[in-house]
Amino acid sequence: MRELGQKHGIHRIVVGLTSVSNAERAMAAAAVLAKVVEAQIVGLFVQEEDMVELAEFPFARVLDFDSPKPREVSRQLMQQAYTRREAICRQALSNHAGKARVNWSFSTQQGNIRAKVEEMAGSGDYVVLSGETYGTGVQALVRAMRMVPAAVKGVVVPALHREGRATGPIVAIDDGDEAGVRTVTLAASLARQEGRPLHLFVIAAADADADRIGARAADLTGNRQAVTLHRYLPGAPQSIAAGLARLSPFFVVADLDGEPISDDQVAISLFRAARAPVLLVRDKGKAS
Amino acid sequence: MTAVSPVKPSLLRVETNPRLLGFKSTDELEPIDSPIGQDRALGAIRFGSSIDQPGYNLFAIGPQGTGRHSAILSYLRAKAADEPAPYDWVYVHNFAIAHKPQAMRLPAGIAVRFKDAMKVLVDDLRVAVPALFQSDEYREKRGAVDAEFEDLQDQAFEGLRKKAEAQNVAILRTPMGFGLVPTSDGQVIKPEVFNALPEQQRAAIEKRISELQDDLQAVLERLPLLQKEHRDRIRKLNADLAGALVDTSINTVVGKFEGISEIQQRLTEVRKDIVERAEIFLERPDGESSSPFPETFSSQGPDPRFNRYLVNVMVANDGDGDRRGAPLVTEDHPTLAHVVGRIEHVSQFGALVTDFTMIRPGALHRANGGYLVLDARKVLSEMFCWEALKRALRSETVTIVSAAEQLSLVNTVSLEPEPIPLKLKVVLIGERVLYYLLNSLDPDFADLFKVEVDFDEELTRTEENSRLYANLIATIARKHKLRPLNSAAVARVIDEAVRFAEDADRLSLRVGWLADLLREADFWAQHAKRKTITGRDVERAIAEQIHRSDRMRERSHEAVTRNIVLIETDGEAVGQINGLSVVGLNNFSFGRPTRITARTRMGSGKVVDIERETKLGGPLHSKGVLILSAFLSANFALDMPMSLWASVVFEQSYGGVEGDSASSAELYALLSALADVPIQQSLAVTGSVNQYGQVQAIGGVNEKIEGFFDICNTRGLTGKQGVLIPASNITHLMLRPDVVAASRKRKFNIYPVETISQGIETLTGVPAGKRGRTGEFPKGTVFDRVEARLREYAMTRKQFGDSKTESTAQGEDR
Repeated sequence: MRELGQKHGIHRIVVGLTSVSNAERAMAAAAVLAKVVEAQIVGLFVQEEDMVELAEFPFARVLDFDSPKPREVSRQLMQQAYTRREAICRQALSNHAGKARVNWSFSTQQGNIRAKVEEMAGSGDYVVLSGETYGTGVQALVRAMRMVPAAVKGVVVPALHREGRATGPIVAIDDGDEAGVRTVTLAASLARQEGRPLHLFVIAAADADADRIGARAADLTGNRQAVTLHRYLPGAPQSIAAGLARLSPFFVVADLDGEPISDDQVAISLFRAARAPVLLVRDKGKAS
Repeated sequence: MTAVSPVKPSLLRVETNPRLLGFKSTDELEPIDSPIGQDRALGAIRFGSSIDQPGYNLFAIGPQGTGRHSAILSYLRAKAADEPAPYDWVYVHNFAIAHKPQAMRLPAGIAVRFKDAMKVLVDDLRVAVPALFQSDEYREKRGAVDAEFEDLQDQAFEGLRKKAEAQNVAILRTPMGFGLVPTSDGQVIKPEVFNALPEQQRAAIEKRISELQDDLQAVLERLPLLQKEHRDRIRKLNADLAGALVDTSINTVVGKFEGISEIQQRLTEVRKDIVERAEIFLERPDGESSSPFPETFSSQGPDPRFNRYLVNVMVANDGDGDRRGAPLVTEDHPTLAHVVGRIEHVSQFGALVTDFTMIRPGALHRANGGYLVLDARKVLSEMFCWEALKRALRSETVTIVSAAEQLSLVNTVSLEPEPIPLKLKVVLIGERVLYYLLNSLDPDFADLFKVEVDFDEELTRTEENSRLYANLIATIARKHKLRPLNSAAVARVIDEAVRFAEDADRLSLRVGWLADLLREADFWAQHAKRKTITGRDVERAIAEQIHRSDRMRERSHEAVTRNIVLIETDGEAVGQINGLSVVGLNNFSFGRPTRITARTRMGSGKVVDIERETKLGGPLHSKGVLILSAFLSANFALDMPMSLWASVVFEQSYGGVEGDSASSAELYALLSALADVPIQQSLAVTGSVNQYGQVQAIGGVNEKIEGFFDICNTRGLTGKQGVLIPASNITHLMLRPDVVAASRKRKFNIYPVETISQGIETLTGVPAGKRGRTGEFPKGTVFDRVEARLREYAMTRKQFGDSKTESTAQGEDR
């Protein structure tokens, strides 16, 4: 195992895990990223205080997809359910990290997931979102994405459920800003590691800008890697979503704060179209 | 005195004259294509195999080695070859009831082609369908459908979340499900804070939460309906897209099997199922399709999910190829599974699973439309096989049932394949005893096996038949690629076949034994570097066969010559005689003498068979002893009660004694003891006796004579030695040449005896005696002396009874 944090300045991949985490998908995404950047995966399982305390309310009931009728809940039952989830998350981390041959650690804490992740994730770390306790669906994920600590270098949004297999390439989305450098560099590394083609979605209004972004990408990959360019005009997120749906990408890399992810609704449509893990890098300036 | 003359030497061994056979070498002879002497059996085979009625199956009976198998197979092979190839049979998946695979009947030669075509179809679709579903068009359509439903789902939750938020309530996703808690300024209120609130406020919060809970329940309950609608939309999308592709592929197969309605109908069903279930072509076989990074899975190689479209060939008759005609199947190991077929299972995660591709045909499937030849003993000794065979013949269908299912030993997921209609002839081959036992004990047997094919084990020995037998020898030699036999060798083989048949007028038809003898003679001819098998090679083969099995005989012979077993071969003795018995060891049997003695005294009319008393005698032996006592009772001292006590024993016999062939010898010993007339010990006796004193034929006469001859020969032949045999056994004589030579020189004689009178006279040299007009036997004859002794016993008994009565009376007086 190489010394950690040697590539891309990423030290750790922090995976915040809660009661509703999709641990499998989160760990799979974390393992791919950790392998390519040679970082350690830090699994942080948080027992939400609010959840445990819910059982203390006189009106405490729970409902679920497979059992929509309200059921009574006790603190003991809740605790047992957490213990089971914790074991599942630990197992998932062990499996994926083991297969990727990356270092990992796992710890359990009590408190609030957002606060604990904020505490844990420092500068140079990436955070993998694994689920959201205050809501459901992709909208909750986007809300969580917006709340990641400012210090972290980026966020990974795990893949949404997909029928069939991901056969496509690594896709980088570059609007030409500063974060685009890291976007392309990371995407190129992922493409090399996974042996997949690299596709660059260039968002540029003018031809000259598009050419410049393309040339920068070629420069960043050292002209050793074939890059397929797709050009999109700014403000045309539906076209980008359609492009992602067609390619069925394996991994998507984009700028967290730039075009087009900066808009929540656009981000939601892109995540749904891609159905792949999305690595969102943060602009250097904002990260510092 | 009725003197018995020895049997003429010419009758002791009737040898075949090689010159009369009319050839020098078997190379000159034409091979025969059907067994000789089996006209009755062949007629039955022809009849049974041709009659087209239920129950006319065949049961071939006869001893092993009579050529039953080869005769039946040879005839049926030729018959089957001229008959049309029957239908092919395949099993296919039943789309309606998965555990009941459908049987399909196809024209001969089609099954394998159909199977291959369906395999190619599935392989093509496994590549083409995923490619189709990777198209941009499909992805966009699919993405739109997925997004639409996800949006609906998200909107429902998001709307509720916002509504709850507006009412200061948060929806939490706990590990146990969704829960609702009150909030204040976006933060969840702690329970203790809540409990401290005024009751009115708490009640209001609880009411809000209860209403929101109802809303949440409604959302959750609507979700399965949404998901179902989503699935239906996707299925329709898949079906629309796959339909055209599947049509193109299936039409290729349709074109190959035009005019075969079964296949056309099947392809329609397959098309419908593929279109409805197109998504299975997209899923990974291990169900990991939901993995975020499913690896590219191979579209090659076996995948049980596609088995439903494949074809399992049970019977393939190559109508156009090399294998023409009806099938002729033999099953050497007729287990239940081998006869009716079986359903195999594979272990999957600790459970046994199966599908229709794991149905394996049995002999009944393979022989359907033709002939099935089975060994009856094997069928009966295999568990459930006989019942399954009968069931199949009675119902005229093959139903696959495992022994474990019949015994309810397993409770695993299994199949109930559709029974396949059955039309065939079953030929069982077995021993006679099996046939008769089945006939008497199994009520179904006579209905199912109406044709008895009775193989004869002997052929009448005539000149013509001897020549026919020579042809049989030539055929066997050629079949087994043996050297040709010269006429002397053939003559020697025929003589041995006569001896094997134990009848000078019969030739053994045990083809198995004959082939063994020829093979061994060929070996010795090769050993002697001869190109032709000669009489000497046949002699050597016979001698070596005997030598290999001869150890017990030698030990028995030694025991006598070393006087360990007491057998006299000269002199004379009262109440003592040499009986003869045969010891059978596998394929080799030999005769040996046994001393039989008899003792008598006054008694209550009982002859004690010591063998029976000690449970060493079998029922036939006991019967013989009872018959001789009846002879005594019916012929002597008829006016007095039988007052004899006699004992008869086989001396130094430690094994069991069975058969009645020594009953005449036992009677002679008894008569000698009663008459006090000595018997010549240079003679030995065999033969059974009836109540009238007639001596009857027995088996193993040659071995018995040779057994006594060998003892006498070792001790030195005196000319007085010989054997008394039943006169009716003369026709069975085929003695060894050395015995015949001794007889020719008057050194050893064979006496044919018809009655006990003749026998006792020959043994004692004293006339037996015949009642005169006065009803008395002539004085001094054996029978006179016997009667006198019996009267003496009766008188003594009477006197004994009188004196006892007197003493009792005196006692009473006192």
